[in-house]
Amino acid sequence: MDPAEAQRIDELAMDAQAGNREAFRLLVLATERDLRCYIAVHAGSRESADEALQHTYVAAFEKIAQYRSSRTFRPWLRAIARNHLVDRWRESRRFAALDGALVDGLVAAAAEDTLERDEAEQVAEAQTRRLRACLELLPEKSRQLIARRYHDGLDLDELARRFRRPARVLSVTLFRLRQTLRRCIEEREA
Amino acid sequence: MNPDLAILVDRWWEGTLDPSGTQALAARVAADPGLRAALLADIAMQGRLGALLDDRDGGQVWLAVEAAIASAHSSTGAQRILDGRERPPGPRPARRRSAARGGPASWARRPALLIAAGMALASALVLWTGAPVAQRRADRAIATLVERTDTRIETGGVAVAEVTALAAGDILRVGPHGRARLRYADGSEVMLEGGAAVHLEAGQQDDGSGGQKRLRLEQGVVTAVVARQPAGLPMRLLTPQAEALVLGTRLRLAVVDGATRLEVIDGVVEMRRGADERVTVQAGESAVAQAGTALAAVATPAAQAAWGHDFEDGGRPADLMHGDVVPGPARAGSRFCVQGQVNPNEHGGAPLKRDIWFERPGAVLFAAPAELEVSFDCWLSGGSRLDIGVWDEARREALWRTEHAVPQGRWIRLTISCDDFRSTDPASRISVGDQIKNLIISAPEGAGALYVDDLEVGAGGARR
Repeated sequence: MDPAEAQRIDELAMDAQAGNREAFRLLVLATERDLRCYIAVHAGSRESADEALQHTYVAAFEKIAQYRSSRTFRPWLRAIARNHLVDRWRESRRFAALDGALVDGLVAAAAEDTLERDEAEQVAEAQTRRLRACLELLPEKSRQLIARRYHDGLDLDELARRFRRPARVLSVTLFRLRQTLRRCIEEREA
Repeated sequence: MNPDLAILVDRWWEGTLDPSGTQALAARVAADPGLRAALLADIAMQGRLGALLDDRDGGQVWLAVEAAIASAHSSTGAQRILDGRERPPGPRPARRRSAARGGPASWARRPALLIAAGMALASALVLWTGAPVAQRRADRAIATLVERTDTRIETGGVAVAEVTALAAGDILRVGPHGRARLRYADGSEVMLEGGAAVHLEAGQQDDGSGGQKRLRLEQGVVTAVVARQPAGLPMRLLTPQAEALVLGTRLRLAVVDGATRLEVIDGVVEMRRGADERVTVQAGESAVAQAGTALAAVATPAAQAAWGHDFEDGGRPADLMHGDVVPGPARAGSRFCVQGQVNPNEHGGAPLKRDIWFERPGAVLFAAPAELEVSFDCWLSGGSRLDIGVWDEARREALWRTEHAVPQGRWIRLTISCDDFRSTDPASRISVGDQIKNLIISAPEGAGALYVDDLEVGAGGARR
């Protein structure tokens, strides 16, 4: 992060610590995009991501006095979010074990493990930049399919109606697109 | 990845995979570690794509956060303004509506200042009315959210969190793998399954006593247990295709694939479509509202009302997941029983426990009859505690009964009735018609052996 930006955020945090809610609002606006990206990767669904995002900011509001101005406000927020997500995935794993939901349990265990390891903020930002660049390289029709699925949230049946293709075919196409994007990201990392 | 598998993965991710598909996917994942790794990597990529393409503006996020903070700290915000520690809100520019979704995705980020200016009015209103917002919500509450997992609550088009008081105008959206349960003041409950979306609407009248309950089911499945309603004020459950009027009953309502299906488990419900078509659906009957089909009540296909095993053929039942059929301790008139299998103990007791676990993959064991009773003979040695648990698919929760001071070293017969099973929610009970997915009998202090025989599940009085 830009040092001047980090300093500005620290100043807002100090104002918020003094009881200035407007300062906290500006903190939210300044940090929500990156925090939302971080949470959404680990949350598993949009509903969970929204819940976790709001929980994180409410917790940050309640604990703002504990933040020590050190230009680490974003990592501090991420730590709050990570702890909440870990707790949530642990509960989900217990739930899945009771229910015999093997796939849910596997996903919950993997998500918890990924959160425990946690990638550095710079790595996450770089991954997001690479993914954005790789999306730009896709043909227009492929970008449209990805957008309908992950921006508009359409399910397979609705996609099949819109694109006038069988759901099975679209499913394979989407999988291949995701593989293409993953390879593209890996090539850019190398 | 072949097409069959790709579509299973996609349907699982979006929460539309049916139980047989879930079972098929789970079986393939369990059998193939390489597939497991590929699946997890693919799901992570889907999460990244969702994160990247979510372009909702920060102002919406702030509104939701502010509402949540106001709800959690109902008097603090107003007090700070009064104390002069916060500036009162400034001028109120017109609110700018956020861009409609559905058009081609924009990869560009919106300037933060523009967002802040556009949302200033709404933010100012929320800042000024921090405490009253929370108070007004409590005053307007028509139901309480008593359980939520992976559920978003929207009010006025904005998602809010950390609220339990639900008001008219609220929308509950349950994620693919989530659940939610709301409860009215008269004890009526509505349980939302994964993928459900429900709108709470204002009733016919609001006289402070609760008025008429109205819920609009946009999609998905709900199960409702409705207390007796005032005369002339039935609970109204509306769907895109039909409306169900409920006076006091237990029912299941589903909106799936452009049709509404109503199943009445207990009581009577009137189902309506349009101005002229209506049908009365009694307990044990179902009705479907869909284009091209007349509205009619038919008998609901009978679910297995009773279940049990005596193990006398010496064979392993297909639904026995943990346990072994053995001769066991000698007993007149009985040749075989089932022995508990040693398993790691999650209960915090001795390192090992002994489990007997019945489950039918991809199906339910039985539907709970009226006055459910679970009876079985058991022999326990080592430890004196027995845990008996079921998974209630309708409620999406585990309910347990612990028997203490179980005599050791001899056969005894235990009978567990419906009300004995409890969950983490003290008010939760197994109800007639609930789909029971598994039954577990566990000796958590597993130094000795556990044997079970002549297992019966039935209506009250089921005994050998």
